[in-house]
Order: sequence, then structure tokens, then C-alpha cells
Amino acid sequence: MTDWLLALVPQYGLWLLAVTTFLSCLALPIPASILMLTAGGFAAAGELELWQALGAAATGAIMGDQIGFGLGRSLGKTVLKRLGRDRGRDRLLAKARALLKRRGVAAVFLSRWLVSPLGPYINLVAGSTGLGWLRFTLSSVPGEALWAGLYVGAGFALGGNIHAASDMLGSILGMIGGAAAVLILGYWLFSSAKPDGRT
Amino acid sequence: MKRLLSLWRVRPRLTAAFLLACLVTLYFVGRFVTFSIYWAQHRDMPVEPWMTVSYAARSWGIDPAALNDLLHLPAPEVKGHPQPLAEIARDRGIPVADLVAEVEVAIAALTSTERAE
Repeated sequence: MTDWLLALVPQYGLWLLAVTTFLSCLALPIPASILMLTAGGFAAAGELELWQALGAAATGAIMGDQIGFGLGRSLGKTVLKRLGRDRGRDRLLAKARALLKRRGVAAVFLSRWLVSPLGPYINLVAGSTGLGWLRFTLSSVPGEALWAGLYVGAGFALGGNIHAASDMLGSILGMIGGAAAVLILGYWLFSSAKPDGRT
Repeated sequence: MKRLLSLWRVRPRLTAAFLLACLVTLYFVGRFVTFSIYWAQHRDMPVEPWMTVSYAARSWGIDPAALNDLLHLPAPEVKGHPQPLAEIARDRGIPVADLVAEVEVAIAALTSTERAE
């Protein structure tokens, strides 16, 4: 199915790109990343405009985020209300809300590009736990722009060799994620635990 | 090292998570270096049915017009959009694998003449 989809890029280029990223933000199994890499390759070959490909991919994804957030807000509330009748669960939900309030911006931003498989679910939770629309949008837009930029840009930079682009990008994202985890855990470890036994 | 050992006694789980994160990061650094070296030497991507002529030419660093001429392929203007090899093969009534093979032969010919020049 992927090859069939890729062959449609020269003909339906920008629309296809936007629809693909839109649907992938709603958790539908569509190879949006390969398509973005290929679009970058077509841009390098002069068959798409680079900035238009970037714009289409980012716009589709941003619209998808908005729909996911809206679904979470409209459907989530009834489900959450039912869950909230239980006192224990209500306490947990309050904690989740508090966490999203404190770290919501980072969670939304990072789940756009660094851990993108999480994105669609974060959209639903963010919508249903009452993360403000403005905060959500302000972290979703730059996140999706970065996502589109990374993938379309990698396809463009590596001249359409999508295998090379996907290998390199995967490694770079892995390094970023790993380094971030090292920094956070390291800070936590070395600042909270005193070696003489006091914590 | 000593510091880590004493930390391990106080907070074993957190220390383990920290070391694991270090290992994961090192793994990706290694992966990045390996792929960088590999792809620097294997820049060209095999021709595939979804590619257009320009795409394949760009990937092999040759002039798309020269490739088009050699293969007598339709120019992009014919249908108003660039055509993938799969579509060209369908229009010609030949299996796409044959056309891919033709393109590969033409690319090989063009790269060898370019090198000779």
C-alpha cells in the first residue's frame, strides 16, 4: 500500500500530503513519515516546492490535532464524569489534570515530533482533561511544524534516498530522546540522593 | 564510579534507569555514526516503480533530461503532472519491472559516460 501511495505523490502531491498527516494525527495507521520523506525527495527533484510541501504536511497535522483535541473535549467529558463518581478515580483524574497543567505544554510539544506515535492519544487526553485550547494550540503548532520540517527536510537533504533519510533521522531522534532522558534522570539522581545515605 | 556505586545503594532503581538511558543514548550515537559512514558510500537509491524519472535521476546525480531522451519517456507536460514509472509502464502496456530494468541500464550508461568525461 505504501508504494501505491508514494506513486500518487507526483500527481496529488500537496493534498495527499496534508490528508495523510491529518489522518495520522487521528491515530489511523498511515505511513505519514515515509510520505513526508518522499515529498522531500520530490522537492529535491524539482517536482514539488519545498516550502509548499512543508506547509501542506504541517497544516494537515495541525488540523488533525485540533480534531483530536475537540473529540477529547466533547466525548471525553461524559466518560470522565462517569469515572469521576468513584472517589479514588476522581483523585487520579485530578492528578492527571494537574500533571497536564504543569507539564502539558511539554507533553504536547514533544509528542508531535520526538515521540510522535503518542501524539493522537495525547490530543484526546489533553482535550478531555481540560488543557486550555490556547495552550494546546501554542504547543501543537510549533511541534507539528518541527515534525514536518524534520521529515520533509531529511528527504530533501538526502536527495530522495528515503532509506538513508529514515535511518539518519531515526538515529538523530533516538539520540535527542536518550540525551534528554540522561539529563533529566541525572539531574534527579545527583541532586536528590546524597551519597552518605540521606535522601 | 565510586559516586555511582554509593548512589546505587541509596537509589538503585533511579541509578539503573540513569545507566540504561546512557546505554540507549550510546546505542543511537553508534547507529548514527554507522549509518553516516554507510550512506556516504551508498548515496544512490535503487529505482522503484513509484519514482518519477526526475526523482530517480536526482537520486543518482544525473541530468533528468538526458535520462528522458535516452529512454524516450514522456515529458511531464504530457499529462500535466510528472508520472511515476508504474504509470508510464501501464500506458505502454509493459510490466513495470521491465521499465525499471530499462531505467537502471540507462542510468548505468549515463553514469559511465559522465565518469569517462
